[in-house]
Amino acid sequence: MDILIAEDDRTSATVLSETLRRMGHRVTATPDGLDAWSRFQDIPPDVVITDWIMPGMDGLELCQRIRSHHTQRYPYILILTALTGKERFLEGMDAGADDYLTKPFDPDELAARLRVAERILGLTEEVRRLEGLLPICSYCKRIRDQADRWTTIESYITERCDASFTHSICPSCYQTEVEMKLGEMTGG
Amino acid sequence: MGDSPPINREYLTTMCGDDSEFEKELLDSYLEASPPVLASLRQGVEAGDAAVVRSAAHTLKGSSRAIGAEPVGAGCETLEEQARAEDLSGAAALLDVIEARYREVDAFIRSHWS
Repeated sequence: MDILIAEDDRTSATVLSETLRRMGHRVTATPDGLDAWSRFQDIPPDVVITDWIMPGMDGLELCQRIRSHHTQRYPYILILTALTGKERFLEGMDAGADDYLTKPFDPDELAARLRVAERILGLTEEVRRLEGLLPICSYCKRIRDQADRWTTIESYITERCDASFTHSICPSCYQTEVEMKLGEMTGG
Repeated sequence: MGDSPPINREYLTTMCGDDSEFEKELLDSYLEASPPVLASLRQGVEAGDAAVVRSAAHTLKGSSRAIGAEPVGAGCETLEEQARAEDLSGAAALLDVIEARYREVDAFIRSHWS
């Protein structure tokens, strides 16, 4: 996976980056929340691993910014911090994190958490793909919406966006439908 | 420091695997990055600046624990808590202990990895 790290302590960042690389991930390391936020906007990663206490923007604000920012794919956020205790954990999770690990981390535990992240990201991608599929009737071209109703393409689209339809006839249909009928009428 | 060694080598091996080159690189980076943090800690303690002490203690705690230098990490954790509570009354004595423990880590690394 593509993993973005936000960690101000150089030694901790080196250990984390190397551990992740050995697990087969691609790593981008940033020294604070602001830098991570800027990188995130340029190239959204699969996973963000962020420290909590950092100069400038802390990990909590980074979580909140990422969650309020629209991205095509869901970014998985893991807080990795020396801050322990239920209160901190809940605060971090409420800020938008998906997972919370305390330092110093155990590489096997981190690997297991990232396997869960990969599974969840796979499922969110599957949901996104399925939501993007519109079932359409092969004959009448009606579309089945989320409420299981079959509706015309016109009403499906007008209900969901500002577009409205003006009915017209394209040259190809004019030829096959209109001219043919006119021919039948005049010839018959 | 009691029975605990300056660095928990078992932990370090868990983090670095059998990559001795990376292990050396990591420890060198720790020895390079820590003195300015210790200097900042000393300045903060002498100036009675709890915010500076808290921040520097937090940094040194993190990096020390990342290499398995638990005695330094534990000392920094206590100092960080005291600074958070804005009580620096015992900070100078505690910093002396942390500096002594750090010197042991430094000597331990130089004797085992040079």
